[in-house]
Amino acid sequence: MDNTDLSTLGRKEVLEKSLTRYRKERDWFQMFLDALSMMPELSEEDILQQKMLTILLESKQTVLDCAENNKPFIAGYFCNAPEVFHAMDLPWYMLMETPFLAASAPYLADDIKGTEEIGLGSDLCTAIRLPIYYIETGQMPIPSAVLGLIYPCDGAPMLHQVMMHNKAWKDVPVYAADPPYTSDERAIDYFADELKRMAEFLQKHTGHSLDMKRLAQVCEDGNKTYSKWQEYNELRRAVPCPHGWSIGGPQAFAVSQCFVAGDPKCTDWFEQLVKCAEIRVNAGEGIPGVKERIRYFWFDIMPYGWIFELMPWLEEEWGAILTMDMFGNYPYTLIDTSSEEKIWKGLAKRNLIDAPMIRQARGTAENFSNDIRRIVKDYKIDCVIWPGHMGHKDGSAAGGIMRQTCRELDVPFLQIGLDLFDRAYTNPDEVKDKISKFFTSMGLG
Amino acid sequence: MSKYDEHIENVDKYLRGRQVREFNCPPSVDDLKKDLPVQVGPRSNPGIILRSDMFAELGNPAEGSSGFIVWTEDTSLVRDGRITLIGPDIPDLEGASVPFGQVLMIAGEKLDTEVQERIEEYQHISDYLEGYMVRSSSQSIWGRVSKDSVAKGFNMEILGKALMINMKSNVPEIEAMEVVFVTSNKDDVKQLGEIAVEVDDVRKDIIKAVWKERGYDLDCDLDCNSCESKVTCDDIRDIIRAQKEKGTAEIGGSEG
Repeated sequence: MDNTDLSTLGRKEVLEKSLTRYRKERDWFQMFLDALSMMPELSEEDILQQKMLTILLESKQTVLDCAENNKPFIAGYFCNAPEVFHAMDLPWYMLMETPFLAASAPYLADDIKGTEEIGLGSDLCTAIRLPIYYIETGQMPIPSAVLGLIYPCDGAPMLHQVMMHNKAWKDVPVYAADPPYTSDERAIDYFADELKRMAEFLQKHTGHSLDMKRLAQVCEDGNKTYSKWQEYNELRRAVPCPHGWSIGGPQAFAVSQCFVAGDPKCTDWFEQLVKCAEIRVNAGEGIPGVKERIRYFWFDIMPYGWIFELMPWLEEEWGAILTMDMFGNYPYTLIDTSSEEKIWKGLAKRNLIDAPMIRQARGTAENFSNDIRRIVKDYKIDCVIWPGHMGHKDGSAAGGIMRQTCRELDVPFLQIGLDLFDRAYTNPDEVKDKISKFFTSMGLG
Repeated sequence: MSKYDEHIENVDKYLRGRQVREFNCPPSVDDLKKDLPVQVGPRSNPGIILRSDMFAELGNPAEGSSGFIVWTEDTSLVRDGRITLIGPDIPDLEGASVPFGQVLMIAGEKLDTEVQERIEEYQHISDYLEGYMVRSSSQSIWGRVSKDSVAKGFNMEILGKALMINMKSNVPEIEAMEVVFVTSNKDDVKQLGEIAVEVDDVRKDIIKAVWKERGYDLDCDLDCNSCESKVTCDDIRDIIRAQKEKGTAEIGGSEG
C-alpha cells in the first residue's frame, strides 16, 4: 500500500504524485506501440492494434499535457455523453479507468489489498473501491471538474463522498446528471435537460464553450463510428467467429466511448476492424490456432483483473469463443442531428438507455431478458454465462429472469459468482473448474 | 377486445389511400413452402451477407426503419395469407438502400399474453431464409438481400411467406397472419413508426404483467419510505447539501 502522508506534500508534489501512475500506464502502452513500429511488416491485425494504441495514447498524453500545464481537463464516465466533451475540446479520462486497463494488472492485487487497509468494505464493487483508493492515496490526476455518476448502482456515489472529504479533491466542482428510472419519452426529455445542464456546468468551470454546430458534427462522425461497429458485429455472426474476447468490450466499446467519442480516428479504427474481420470471414477462418466448438455469451464486463488467465484458456482448452459480451453488444440508435433538440434527445437515449451495464442495471429488468433472447438467436450462442460479479447486485436480482429466459430458449445458463477484478475472491482455477463442469454436464465439451 | 385491436385498425387506416401491391398466399405451412426459389427453414442462411455480395439494403439507420408485431384473438381482423407492399419490390432495388417498414399481424383464438415474447423471437427472420440477413439491432429492422438470392427469384412475397412459415411453424396457436412491408419513402416509414411507439407501450405492459405472473417484478414498485436504500439516498442528499453550501456541487434533477 502507498502510505505517503499527503498532507505533508506541497502542491507541486501532489501534482507529481497524482500523475506518476498515469504516466506509467501511458509508457506501458507506448512500449507496445514502439514494439509494433519496429516490426518489419505489419499484418492487418497489427495495423488495427497500432491504430487502437495511437488513439489511447493520444488521449492519455493530452490529459497529461493538461495536468502538467494547468489546462482544463475533466474526469467522468462513458455514459456522461462523451461526444459533448469532444465537441467542447475538453480532454477527459474515465474515473474508473485503471481497473479496466491491462496495464494495471501488475499492481492490481497490491492496490486491492490497499483498499482493504484503508478500511473499504470488501463487499463494495472493486471497480469503485480502486478509484477511491487512488484518490485517497493521491494516485489519480486531479481534474478541473468531475462528472459524477449516481446510476446505475448505489456504489458509484461512494466516490463522491470520498472526493468531498479528500483534501486534494474537495474543491473540484462536481455535476451528476440525475437519471430517471423509466425509459419512456418523458424520461428521455428529462435526461436531455440534465445533459444540457451538464454542458453549462462544464462551460462554467472549464471555460470551454459548446458550439452546437460542432456537437452536430461530432455526433455525425460518431454515427459513422457506430454504423461501422454494427457492421462489424454482423460479421461476428459468422461461424467460426472471426475474433474472440479481445475485441468487443476491451476495444470496440473503448474506442467508441472512452477516448474521443465522435472523432474520425475512431471510425478509421472500426473500418480497419471490419476489414480484418472480412478477411477471416471470406476465408471461412476463425481465430488463428483455435478450433471453435462452443460459442458463448459473456453477459457482463470482462474479468479485467485476471483476464489473461481465463479468456485465452477458454479458447485453447475448450475451443470456447466469446462470441458476444455485454460491452460488445450493439443496442444503439444513431443520433438524429437535424435539430438541437433531437441531438440532445439522441444523446440522452444513448447514455440513459443504450450504454452497456447502464442499460441492464438501471433498468428495466426486461433488458436482461430481451438482450439474451436477441443475442442467443443472432449469434448462434451455445450457452450464456452470467459471471455474477460481486458488485453487480442488480444483476444478481435478475438472475431468475435470465435463467428462465435461457430455459425457454433451451440454451444452458451458468451463474458463477466472482469478482471481475480481484482474483482472490473466486480464484481463476475455481472459475475454470466451474466452467469446465458446466460445459461437460451440458454436453458442450 | 384484444389489447392490439386498436393498433390493427390503425394499420388498416394507414394502408387506406396508399398505393399498394397485394399478394395472397395459401394458409397452410405446407402450401406456403411449395415452389419457393430459395431455402426456408433453420440454418438456411448460415453465413452472413457482406457488402460486396449485397443486392439491396432495407432499413439502414440513415434511411430509417420501423417494425412491430401485433396480435389478436379476433381472427376476423386479420386477412390470412395477405402480404401488402407499399413501394418498390426487391428486384427493382439493385444497389439501393431504402427505408423499411415491416408489420406482422397475427390472430388466433388461443393467443394470449404468454405468447408475446415467443412471437417476438420470430419476427426477425434470423438464419431462416437463404439470402436474407437481418442485421442485429433491438429497435429497428435492417436487412440485407444477397445478389445470389435475387438471381434465384427472391422478392417481398418470398420474404413474407418465409415470415409466415417461420411464425406459423413455431407458434401453433396462430390461425391467421398478415404482413405489411413498406419500402416507399422515409415519410411512410416514419408514419408507421408512430403506430410502433403506441404498440411498444402496450407490449411493455404485457411483458411486465407476464413476468409478474411468473413471480418477477420488472419494475421496482418501491417508494422512498419503503426502500431499503433510503439510507444511501439520504447520505447522497447530505453530500449534495454540503457541497452546495460550499458552492462546489451542481447536482442535477430532483433532490426529492
